[in-house]
Amino acid sequence: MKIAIIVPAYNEEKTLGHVLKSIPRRFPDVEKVEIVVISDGSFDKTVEIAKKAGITLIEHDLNRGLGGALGTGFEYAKKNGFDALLTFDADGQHHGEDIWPVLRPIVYKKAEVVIGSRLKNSIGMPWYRRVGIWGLNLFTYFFFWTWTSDSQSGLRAFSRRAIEEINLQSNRMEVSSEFFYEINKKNLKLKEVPIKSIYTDYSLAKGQKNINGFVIIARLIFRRFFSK
Amino acid sequence: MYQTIFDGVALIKIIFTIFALFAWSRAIIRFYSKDLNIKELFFWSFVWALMIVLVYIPGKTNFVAKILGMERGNDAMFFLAIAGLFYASYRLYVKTNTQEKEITKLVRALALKNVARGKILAKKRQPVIMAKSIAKRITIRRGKRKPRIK
Repeated sequence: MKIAIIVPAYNEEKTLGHVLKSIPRRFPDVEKVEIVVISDGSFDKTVEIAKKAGITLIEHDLNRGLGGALGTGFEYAKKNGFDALLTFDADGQHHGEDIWPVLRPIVYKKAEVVIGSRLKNSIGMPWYRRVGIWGLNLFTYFFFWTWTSDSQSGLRAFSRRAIEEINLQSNRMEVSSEFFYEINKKNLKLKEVPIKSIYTDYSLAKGQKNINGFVIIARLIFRRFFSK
Repeated sequence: MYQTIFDGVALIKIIFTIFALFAWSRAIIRFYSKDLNIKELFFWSFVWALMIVLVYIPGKTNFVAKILGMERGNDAMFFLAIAGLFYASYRLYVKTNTQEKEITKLVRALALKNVARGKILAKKRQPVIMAKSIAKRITIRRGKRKPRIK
């Protein structure tokens, strides 16, 4: 089995080096692991750090947002015949140890999409962040008919079939909810696994603000009802 | 009711007339600079001339109001204008959205052409004498990579 770990990064020089070191290179029953950093038009040292780490680097010339970067990761995995794909945030909020629990159901064919849910074990998450995520969860449910305890998680894994079927349209942060639209539409088997998240001032500042939630909702309404 | 000057002609009517004449003159200028053809010039001339005429006919919008079930022509005009604006902003949103997607596609295609593979980068650091064919391949790859514009 060949897996790709996609790390979308936009100006993450402070955390990227540490994040890349924290990702394990070996997993049971996995022959090849390729770490792919997608620099989304970064203008700091993100590119240099990724090059030094000796991992695969894909560079966007312009900033296209999280959705655009993840879409590129999917396209890369599709073209190069990967059996599984894992997305991992570059802001240092995920633990490297959480990768295997998320990946395991894919490797042993128990699910087609696995979401690492921060809310199943939400110690340390600020209350306002919890409220924001729950709001978006409810919204995701009403519009895309898929219940999830963490619609905004950045740690997700996808099987070969999911890689081929998921067609991302969103460019920005709303992509996190769009995954559930695709999961429902393409009838993919979803599983949730509890993960821990590290909340530092840095990752909080980098992550989504609650106010962005309204922008995300507006874009999702458009995606749901007006887009092809 | 209205503030009037020039023998009872409302100020708003004068402003509107000046605006319409200005827009008309723009159309004529664009016709002479060959941005508009003769048909388009006639169309815009008709539109602006009609606007000016309509401004000076009292109660001309009342029939629109009646159709819409409103009392005053002004209300009907406001309603239609807002509906028109909403539609225009929706069209604009769709258009920018499509363009955003196109840009993403372009950026993605460019990025995927110039992937810096991890394996080769790892090899580069090792001071090992490479087989000629591999060395050649790496040089070609490096040559292909576009320099990053700063």
